[in-house]
Amino acid sequence: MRDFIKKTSAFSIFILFILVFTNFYGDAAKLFHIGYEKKIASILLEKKNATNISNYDERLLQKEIINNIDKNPDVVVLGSSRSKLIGSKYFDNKLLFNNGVNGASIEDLVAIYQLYKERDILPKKIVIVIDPWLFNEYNGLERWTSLEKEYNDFHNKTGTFSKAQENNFSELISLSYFQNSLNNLPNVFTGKSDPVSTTQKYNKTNTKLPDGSIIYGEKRINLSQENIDNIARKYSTGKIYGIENFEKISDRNFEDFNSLCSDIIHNGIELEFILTPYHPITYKKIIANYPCVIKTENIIKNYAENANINCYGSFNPSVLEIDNSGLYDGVHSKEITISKIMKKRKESSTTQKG
Amino acid sequence: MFFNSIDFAIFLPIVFFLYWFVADKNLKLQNFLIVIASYTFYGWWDWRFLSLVLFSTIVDYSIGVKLSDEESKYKRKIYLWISILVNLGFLGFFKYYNFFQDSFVSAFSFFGTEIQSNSLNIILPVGISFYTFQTLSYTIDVYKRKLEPTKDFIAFSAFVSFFPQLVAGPIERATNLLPQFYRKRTFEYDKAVDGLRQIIWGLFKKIVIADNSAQIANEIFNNSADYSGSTLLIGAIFFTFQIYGDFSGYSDIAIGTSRLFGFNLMQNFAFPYFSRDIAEFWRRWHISLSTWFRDYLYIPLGGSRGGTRMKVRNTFIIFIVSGFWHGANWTFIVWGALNALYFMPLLLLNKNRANTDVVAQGKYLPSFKEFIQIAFTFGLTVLAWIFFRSENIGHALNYISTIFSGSLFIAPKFLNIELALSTMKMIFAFIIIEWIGREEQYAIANLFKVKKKYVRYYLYVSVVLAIMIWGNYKENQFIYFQF
Repeated sequence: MRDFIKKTSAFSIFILFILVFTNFYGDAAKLFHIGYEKKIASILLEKKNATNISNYDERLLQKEIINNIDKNPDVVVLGSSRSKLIGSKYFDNKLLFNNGVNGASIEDLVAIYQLYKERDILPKKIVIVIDPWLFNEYNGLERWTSLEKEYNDFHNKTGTFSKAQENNFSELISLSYFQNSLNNLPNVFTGKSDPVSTTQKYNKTNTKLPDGSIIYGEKRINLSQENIDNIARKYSTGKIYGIENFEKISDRNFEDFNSLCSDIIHNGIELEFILTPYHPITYKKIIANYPCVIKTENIIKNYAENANINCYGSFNPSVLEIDNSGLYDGVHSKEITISKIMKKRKESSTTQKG
Repeated sequence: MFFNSIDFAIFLPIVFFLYWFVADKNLKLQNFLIVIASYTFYGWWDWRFLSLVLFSTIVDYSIGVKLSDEESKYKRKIYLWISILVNLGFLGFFKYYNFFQDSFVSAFSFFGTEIQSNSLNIILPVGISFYTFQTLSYTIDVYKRKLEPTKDFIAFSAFVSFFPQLVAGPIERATNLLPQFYRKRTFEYDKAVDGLRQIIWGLFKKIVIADNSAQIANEIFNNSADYSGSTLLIGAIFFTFQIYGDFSGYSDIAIGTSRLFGFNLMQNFAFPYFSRDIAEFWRRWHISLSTWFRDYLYIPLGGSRGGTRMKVRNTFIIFIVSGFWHGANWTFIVWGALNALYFMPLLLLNKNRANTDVVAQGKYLPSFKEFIQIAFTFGLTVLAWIFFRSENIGHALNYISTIFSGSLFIAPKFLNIELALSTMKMIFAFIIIEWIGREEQYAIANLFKVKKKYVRYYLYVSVVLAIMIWGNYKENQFIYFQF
C-alpha cells in the first residue's frame, strides 16, 4: 500500500508540476505576468502601432493608457470588440481614443468612463457602441472585474470582489488553459511573445493603432467568403455570445446604462450611440431564438430619441444593406461595414446641421 | 459528478484514503463508507433523486427477505411482480411517460381525432435504467433461487448504489457483485495499479477520442442538410467512435475505479469494432446489457427452443426492447429492429456462433477474408448508428439518402478542418493500440507491462500528456447518462 501511495503521489505531483509550470510560464492570457499591458501602452503612447499582441488584460491596458494620457481627447469610443475598427479617421482626425475591450459589459463601459472622470480628462464626445448583451443580466461576462474598483467608484460603492483573482488561480490547474499555454511556451522562451512596435499598419497579427482602434491581422483579412460563412454558420450552431438566457431586458443593467448616459450628458459631453450588425446567418438565428435582441434595439432607439442622442446603425444587416461580405465572422464587421455606418452618420449629421 | 471532472479527481483519493486507512479493519464500515460515497457521488448531480435509489433499495431488499421466508409459489410470484412493477414503474414514468403520451396523441391525430396533450416536464434521473436493471436482477435471481437473499441491508445498499457503476454500468449481476460485499477486501498492489491503468485508458477514450469526435459529429448531424453525402458518411463514422469511446471509456473508468477498492466488475466491451459479424458484435458491445436481456428476457421467452419462428420472434423482441431501453424515441426502436434484421441471416443459417474467438488470434494482421468481414460489419454498424444519433426517423432517412446520393463523391468539407484531421489521426492511432491489445481485458492491459521501469513510466506519462494536450474540454458529458 505504501509503495502504491508513494508511486501514485509522485506520478500525480509530476503531472501537476507540468500542468502548473506550463500554465504559469506559457500563460496564454497573461494572467500571471504583470507588465505586458504596460509594454503595449508605452508603444501606443509613443504614437507607434503595436503588433504581436494577444491574450492580455485589455481592461488593464485601458487603465494604463488613460492614466498616462497628457490631454483631454476629443472623442472617446466605448464598446466591445465589435467597436474596435472605429478610429479617428471617421472623426476628421480629431484626437480620438477607442477604449473598446473584448466582451465589454455595461460594467466595463461605466468603469472606463470613470477612469477618464477620475483623471479629469473627460472628452467632448463619447460614442457608445451598443451590444445587446449589455442588457442581459445573465450574459456571464466577468472580465470587467479587473476594473471593479472604478466601477464601484462610479456608484460611490466600497469593497471589491476577489473573483478575478480567484479565477486566475484556478487557471493554474485548468486543462484548457494548459493547451493554450503550451502553444505559447516556445514563444515565451524565445522572447517572441512580447509586443512589437511598428510603423506598419498591416501585419501578420492584429495591430493596435495609437488611437486604440485595431487593424486585423493578415489571416483574418484574407479569409475567403466561403470560410467566413462557414465560421458564421459554426458560430450560429452554438451559443451566441452573451445573449444566452436573455429572457428580458435587465432592470439592473438598464439602470446602470441610464446612470452612465445621464452622467455623460450631465457633464456636458455629447453622446452618440452606434449599433453594428450581425452576420446575416447569425441574425437569422437571433430573429428565431433571441427576441430580446430586437427588443433591445427598439428600446435603445426610443431612449436615444427621447434624450436627443444621435443613434446610428442596426443589429440587423439588411437594414444597413449589408450582406455576408460585410463581416469577418458571425459578429464582427469588416471595415466596409463600419465605413458605411460612419458615412451615413456623417451624412445625417450634415443634414442636421444644414 | 462526472468521472472526467476536477470534483471526481478530488473525491476519489478522499474516498480511497478513508476506505483503506480509516475503515480498513471493519467490513461493515467499509460498506457503509461505499454507501455514503455513492450517495454523495449521485447527489452531486441532483440530490432529489437519491430518494429513488433509496426507495428502490428498500423495496428490493424487503422483497428479497420476504422471498426467502415464503414457500407459496403464488405469493412468491406476487412479490416478484411487485418488484418488477415498482422498478419498471419508475423507469416507465420518468423515461417513457411523455413518449407514450405523444405517440398516443399522434396516433389519434393520424386518424383525424385531436386530443389534448399534457406532457409533463419530467427530468430523467441519471442512470435510472442501469440501477433499476441491477436491482431487478437481484429479485429475479432470488425468486429463481439462484441466489440467497441478503439480510445485510448496508451490503445490499452498497450493491445497488456502488458509485463506480451506478449511473452508466456495467449492469452487474447480484450473483457476481453482491457476494463481494460480504468478503473482506484486502489491498492488492497489482490490482490497484491495473485499475489505475484502466482508468487512464478510459479517460483517453472519453476525452481524446469521444469528445473530439463528438464536436465534429454534432456539427454534422445538427446541420446535415448543409453537407454532402461524403461529409455525412464521415460524420456517422465520427459518431461511431464517439459512442464507443464515450461508453467503453466510462466502463473502463468504472471497472478501474472498482479495482482500486478491491472489486471486480464484468468486462463491458471487448473490442466490438473488430467483430466479423453482427452476432459477434453483440457479444462484444455493452456485454452487461446484452447478457441481461439474454438471461432475463430472451431465455424466459423460450430462447432458441421451439423452432425457427420462435427464435425469430424472440430475437426481434430483445433487439427492439434493447433499443427502447436506450431511449424514448422511435429512432432507438428502429436502431434495435435494424440490428435484429442484420442478425437474421446468421440466425436462420445457424451461423450466429461462427465467430466466438478473438479475431486473428496470435497474429499481427487479420486475413483478407477477416478484414473484409470486419469492414462489412463495421459498415452495417455505422449505418445503424445513424438512427441512434438522429433527432427523428425523418432526419435519419434524409441523412442516409444523402449518403447514398451522388454527393457521396464530392470531396468532404468540415467547419473545423484542423480538428477533423487531428481527430482522424488520433482515431487511427487508437485503432492500432486497440488492435494490438485486442486479446486483453482492455487495450493497454499488457502493452504497458514493460519490465524496464523508466519505459513503463514514460508510457504512462505519454498517455496522460496525450489526454492533456489533445483532450477536448468543451464536450464532456457522457452520452449514456441519459439512458
